[in-house]
Amino acid sequence: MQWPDYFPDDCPPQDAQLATGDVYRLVKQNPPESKDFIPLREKKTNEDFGEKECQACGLSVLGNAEDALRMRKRARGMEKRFIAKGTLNPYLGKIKHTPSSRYGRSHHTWWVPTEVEPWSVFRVVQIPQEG
Amino acid sequence: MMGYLPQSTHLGKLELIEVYEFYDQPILFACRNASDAIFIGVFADEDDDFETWLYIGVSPHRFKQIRSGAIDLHDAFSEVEDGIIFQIKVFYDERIPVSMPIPTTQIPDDMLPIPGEFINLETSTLPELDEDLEWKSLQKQFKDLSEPEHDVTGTLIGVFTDTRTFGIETQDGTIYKGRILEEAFDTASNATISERYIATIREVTAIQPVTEEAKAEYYLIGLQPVQ
Repeated sequence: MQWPDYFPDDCPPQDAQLATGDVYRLVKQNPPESKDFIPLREKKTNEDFGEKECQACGLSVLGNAEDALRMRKRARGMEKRFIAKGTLNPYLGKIKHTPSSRYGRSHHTWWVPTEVEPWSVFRVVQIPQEG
Repeated sequence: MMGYLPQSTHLGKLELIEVYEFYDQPILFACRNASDAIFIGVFADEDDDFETWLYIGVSPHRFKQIRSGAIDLHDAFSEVEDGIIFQIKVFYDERIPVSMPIPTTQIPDDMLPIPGEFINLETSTLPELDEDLEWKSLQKQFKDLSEPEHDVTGTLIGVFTDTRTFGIETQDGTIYKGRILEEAFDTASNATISERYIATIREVTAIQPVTEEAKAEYYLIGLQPVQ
């Protein structure tokens, strides 16, 4: 796989797995577009992410839709976003389980090779609201 | 991890303490500035050109209540102790972030977390942090007079009344930064930046949570111009 030039050495990390399975991503466009899949490192080119540099080169994806719904309730900046579902396969890059705190247990970081168009494998889905 | 947080705002030099929700970046988190003021930040809105973030200053006791789930996130942001929310706009281009203190009553409800959402972290997950914060709170409350006080002469480089922090630089380049205590607040509020002052400072050695490193903290208890 060919990774973007800005990826640091050893990124994706050694313990990242070949991408596989259904994941969810919160996107601004319906249908999803390339700008919905820009890593933070590309958005904030001058920032120093220190030990989180490799994570900043990846994209957040969630293993279940409930985590996406909860995020939209807590961080209202996410509320306008659509929930898109994609099915990953080993040609689409590498992925690592990177849960945050007690919540976000299904959070994964996905590193996308240069030749992949990630938006092409996602479509917006309707998720019934909890409660 | 400083790259995640704005560094040139009223809030000072921020570093993350805990992340509660992460999506490409922390979107709900606790952080603190160089003088140990604690804030909770949340991603509140987005536009084509910028993101809007809300930050609230919290006392150690309030922080403990919020992270343990005694207070829900909506009330944490709508019933802020100081009545002020810092709204920070972070632009997608290279413009520096714009921060603005706003009365909580003027923040649209659709920017606040939905009622009924709790952090609910068990306090036992980070006992060192809680104990340290409680200790600091008591320390400030009772103003332990056994801590050394001394005068520092230097150039006043910053007074931030909203976060009650100050900075003074001595001739040899040493910078003292920290909290402004009540007895010095009025004087500091009316002081002139870049002028020389004699600052009376209380120095406290605090043990940092997590790292357990000892760190000197400074509290401004008096300020007078150099004659």
